Amino acid sequence: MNSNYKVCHTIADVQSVISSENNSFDVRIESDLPESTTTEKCILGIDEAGRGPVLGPMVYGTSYCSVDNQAILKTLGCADSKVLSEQARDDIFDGITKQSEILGWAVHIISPTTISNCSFRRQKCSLNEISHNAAIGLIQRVLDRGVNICEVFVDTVGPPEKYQEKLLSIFPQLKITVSKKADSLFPIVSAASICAKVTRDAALKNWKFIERPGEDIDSNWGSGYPNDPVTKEYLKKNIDPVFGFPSIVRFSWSTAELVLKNNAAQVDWSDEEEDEDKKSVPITSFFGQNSKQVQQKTPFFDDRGLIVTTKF
Amino acid sequence: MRLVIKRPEHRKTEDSDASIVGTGQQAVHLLPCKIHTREPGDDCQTSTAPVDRYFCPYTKSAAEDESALWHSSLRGKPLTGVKLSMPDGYVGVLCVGKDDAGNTIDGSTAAVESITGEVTERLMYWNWDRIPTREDPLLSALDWMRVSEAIMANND
Repeated sequence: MNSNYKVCHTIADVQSVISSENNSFDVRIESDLPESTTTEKCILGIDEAGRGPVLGPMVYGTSYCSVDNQAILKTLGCADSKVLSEQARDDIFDGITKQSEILGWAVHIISPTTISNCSFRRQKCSLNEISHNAAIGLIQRVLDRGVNICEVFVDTVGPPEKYQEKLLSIFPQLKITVSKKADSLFPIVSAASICAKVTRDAALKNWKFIERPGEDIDSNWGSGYPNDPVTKEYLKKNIDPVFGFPSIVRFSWSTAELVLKNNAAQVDWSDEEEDEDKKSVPITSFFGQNSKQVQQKTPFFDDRGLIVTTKF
Repeated sequence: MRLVIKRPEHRKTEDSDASIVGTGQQAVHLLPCKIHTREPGDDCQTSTAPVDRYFCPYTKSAAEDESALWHSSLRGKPLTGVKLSMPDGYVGVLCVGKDDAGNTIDGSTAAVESITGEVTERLMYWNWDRIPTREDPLLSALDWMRVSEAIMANND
């Protein structure tokens, strides 16, 4: 697992890291390590941002502090990031970064390319699995830094019981609570949620389109959600007939696939073709001699897909 | 379009191409898919694709290692590739086929082939989420070059 974390102290740091990295790959960012978290017992929260949209990265965030210092979370106004305005989230994140003596945080930006690639692997890796792995990676990272975690709170959209079991099997020494809407129940998860959401917004705003260097970028993509007409229109307008979309788009979303099917060149993948060929073989071909199969002198040529094209 | 591997001295009409070999031309990418870029009835011989911008920001797993695996993404599919050099004494030649009526076709059964002038000593060989190995037909087919040379030498 790549544990190449960049340290950031302010929201401006986060923005500059995002715009200096290749957006096709995942980026991991973390705060300085607050001294108190290595000695005192700590709580840790985890939440995600940007799971549904067809555009941009999905961001996993964590925040942690000692049990005794958790009152600071309420003082900063940590609440569910979805009910806060963008400005309010930015202000709270600014507050979090200023409390670097007691509050620690980290984010994992999962690039749209990673999401598409996982989904289009031969052995498909689901979005849930990506999410779980990101959460596990963040917990492990904080443990590796020497934070004395005793209790973990995780937000989930899927069934909490199995997820909780999975986490407990990996971290048996921790007390783990996985729950729906944890971001509105536990302030430490709200803080994680704000870190994730602020990072995702920053990632979208500072997205570097390597496909169009030096060009004015059409960033009128609406909410990014698949059912938003502005987002759909954006997808249709930003197509390359061969390569499809710029890498900000999640190719594996059915909305994106449909737009490509109707507006870009058809692409057949070798294995899919093979499968079709196999299906269309008539059963009678298994009886009697197949005239197509010319016996070669040795399997050497068959093994290598070589055929004789010149008759002597 | 397809790639023909030839010994330069056997080429008849395109000797001047030899000078292109080794110059900083665009890399040839052999993809595990077929891209239907031509509309039916469209006789455009080649269509261009912005490979540099959409495909090339790929990464390499180990630096400075010629045999390292490369990774890329095409239409969201993960690709794993290797840099493939043509066997010693050979170059690759990109060909476009034409059927009897003169229409451009892609199939390997093309009756007549025209050389596009693209000559390559190396190419990127990509698989869809599968590490290229000696079991891959193309990579193992190159064995034939050496085997055939050995057979020809014996005939003498």
